[in-house]
Amino acid sequence: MRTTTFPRAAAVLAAASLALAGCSGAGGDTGQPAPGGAPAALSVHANTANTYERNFNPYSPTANQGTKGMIYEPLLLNTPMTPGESVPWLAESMEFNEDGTVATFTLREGVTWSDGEAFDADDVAFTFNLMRDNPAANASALDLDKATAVDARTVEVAFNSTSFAFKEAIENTVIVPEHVFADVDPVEFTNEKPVGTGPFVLGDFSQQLYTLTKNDRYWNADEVEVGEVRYPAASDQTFNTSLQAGELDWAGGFVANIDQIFINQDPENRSYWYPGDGLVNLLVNDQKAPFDDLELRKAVSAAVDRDQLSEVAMQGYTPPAHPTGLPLPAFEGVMSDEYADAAFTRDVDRANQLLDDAGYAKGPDGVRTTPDGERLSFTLQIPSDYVDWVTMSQLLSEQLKEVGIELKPQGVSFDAWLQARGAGAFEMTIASVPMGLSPYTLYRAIMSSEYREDEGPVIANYSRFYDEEADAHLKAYAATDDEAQQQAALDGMQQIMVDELPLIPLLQSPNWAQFNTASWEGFPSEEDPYALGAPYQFPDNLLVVTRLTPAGK
Amino acid sequence: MKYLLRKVLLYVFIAWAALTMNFLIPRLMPGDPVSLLVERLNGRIDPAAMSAIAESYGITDDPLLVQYLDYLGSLARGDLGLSIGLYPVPVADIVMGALPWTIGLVGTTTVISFVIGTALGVVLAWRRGKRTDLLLPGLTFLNAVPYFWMALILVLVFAVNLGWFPVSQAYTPGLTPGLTPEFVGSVLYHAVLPAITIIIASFAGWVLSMRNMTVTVLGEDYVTMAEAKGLPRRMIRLDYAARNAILPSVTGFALSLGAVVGGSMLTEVIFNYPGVGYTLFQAVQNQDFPLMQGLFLIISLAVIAANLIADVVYVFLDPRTRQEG
Repeated sequence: MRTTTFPRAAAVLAAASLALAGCSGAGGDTGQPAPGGAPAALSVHANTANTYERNFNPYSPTANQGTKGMIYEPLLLNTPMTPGESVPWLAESMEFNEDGTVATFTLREGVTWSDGEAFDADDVAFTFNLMRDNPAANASALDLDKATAVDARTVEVAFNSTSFAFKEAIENTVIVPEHVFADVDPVEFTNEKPVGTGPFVLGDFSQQLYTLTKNDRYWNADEVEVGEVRYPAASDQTFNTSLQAGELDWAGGFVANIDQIFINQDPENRSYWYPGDGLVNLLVNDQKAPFDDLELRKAVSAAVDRDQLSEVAMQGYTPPAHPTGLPLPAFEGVMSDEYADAAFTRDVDRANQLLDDAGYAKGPDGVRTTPDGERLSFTLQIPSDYVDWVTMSQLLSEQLKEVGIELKPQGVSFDAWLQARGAGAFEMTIASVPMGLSPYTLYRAIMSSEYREDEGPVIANYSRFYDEEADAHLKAYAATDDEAQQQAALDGMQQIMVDELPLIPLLQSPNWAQFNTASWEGFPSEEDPYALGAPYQFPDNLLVVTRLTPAGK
Repeated sequence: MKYLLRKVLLYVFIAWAALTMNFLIPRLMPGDPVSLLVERLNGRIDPAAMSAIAESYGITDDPLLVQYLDYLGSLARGDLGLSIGLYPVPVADIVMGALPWTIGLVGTTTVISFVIGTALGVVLAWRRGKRTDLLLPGLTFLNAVPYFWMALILVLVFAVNLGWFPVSQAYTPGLTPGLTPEFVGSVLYHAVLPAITIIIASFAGWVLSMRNMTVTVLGEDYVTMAEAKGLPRRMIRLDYAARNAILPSVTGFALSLGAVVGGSMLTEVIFNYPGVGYTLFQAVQNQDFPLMQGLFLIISLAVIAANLIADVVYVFLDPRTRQEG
């Protein structure tokens, strides 16, 4: 039996004694800078959780927010907002060898773990080898061979295959202390007392609140003004209430009618910014008739009114997708010049023309039929608890009706939807694609045939678009770290995205971030998009927290 | 003694059956917890890492029999496994975290509504045929009202419209748990509305059964005899009528104490109360098999134990069962 009763009891005792010692801390405050320059708290809502479990293992996908970023830090920091540019962090630099199979890191000097032990090349090598030995800890699926510490400040990480394309994921790897993780099963470890290099260490922990307090040994302490980060537990309702009451400085959640609920109370200080962090698409099975016909996909795309979807289903929070599928503003820099001014516009006439030309004649009931006589009538499956998608499906059904295509929206359970999506057992569905760390990861998930399965479910490229040219571009990108060549490959992928419609992009998916600058300022914004703003976003959360300064300074 | 032994053996068999059902039911449900988890994490996990994760989470394609033996083995060691939705937190930790809230809320309210209900039932029986009988239709109505409906109405009126009570959770999030007046006060304050919901929706049942039973007993010959002897009314009411009438209620009470552990799921979900019912709801949503199993295990064992205790108590309360044995 896992006897974890003791640490829990100990934590309660510790918490109780803290409380007895006088509630002098930041007790119940909302992040107002305390008088006299005492450390001030930053209140964060990063995810909806009614209660917290004590899990700070960076390899656990459900670890508490802040574990990665606030406690464990990456070697070099890559945010999708600045593709190709990495910020030196625990490492000063990373160099690939000629064929991209060995990455050499030069580490920063003067970094210590929060328990006082020195951070060195052995920790880094240990971390990569741990990921190789425990595939479940290798969430980016890096093709690791082995890592060796060359000297105290140099580490060589060898890969089994050319890994240029995974530069961002390699550099974003968070480093764990060998002296802690060597003795545990890194996958089953709950890491109740995390030891990291980051700006914060775990303060108090209870079921409904945990705090991260300043790490006195932090190597970059001068850059961090936030003294304490508080993560209060909240359900969806309580999140809205506390956001409205100004109890949160930084939040990342969906808020309906945000102007009334949040902004209007204090328009000076309150703001939100929802940059794209992925794509919401209309998916069809490109391998099956009738959607193996590109003309039909083009017609559907032309018939869709994305502005209406954005305004009605998404309350205008997120704009229509760009025809290249690149989420903006993040990937603006890699967009081909020829598509710089491209935009999706609804064109019913063109859609009708395309369908007429391709032989989809209108039947007596106004619904078109394929040349073989099949009616263009499709079930549109969506998870019934995704309210915005349900609305979108109804709008889509009305929009496509105008060109003689019948859609029958059908709500299914989330689980059934996942299964159907993987197995390709849908006629039409809505699905999102996350943007990943670089345009390459986005396009790979959309058009790579490496995910092809002849039988059984697929794990990406759910529309089953298999194309030799697309594979060639992906391969060309991955084989080099030459920027010009990578851009040429990306140009090719964008062209395929626009011309071949592997899937039908609808909207950008938003990265939710709400800010209240009454106490802290320096959050990313449309004017200063240095990182994604959502507090659940790693490693952007780390970049943001180092930029914050007390309001009015 | 033979009677008790027979009962114990019966319950051991029932427990085994419950454990086996507990093993089978989650596995018969469709769905794949790992793809749910990956989807919720929206791109933070490369699809290629999914199978490795599934494997490390103990999701195997082993034959059912092998899995069943593994399951019994872990249970024998007291190991409930690791949750999937909150991997790698041990299921036992999550259950132990939720249990006190449920026992505190549902346990207390069950006792309160039993005491209120039974006392009121005796009084109403004694005053049968009088104007108090007008209360009966109201009580029948309350008895029929579902918990969640009552909860929604109370939340709407007292928490949302009037703002007298908090909408959800077990205490104010900023507080540090401990035996401080502030914390205890907050817990009590947050418990008021869910507690009232449960009491209102459940006490009427006790009133009705106690009243009806007492009315029946009051018609018995030995009560007429007692009255004829001129015994004090109080004595007849309590020692003759109530004592005999309470027997079925005691069984019912023991059973509902067993059901306490299961929590009052809908009430807990509506109030976001971090008890067993809410946790179970979350486990089902996340297809978290190990956590569901752990919770069902605790719930079914509690019900079985409560039944056993009811049977034992009965032996002491009712001499007739002893003779039969």
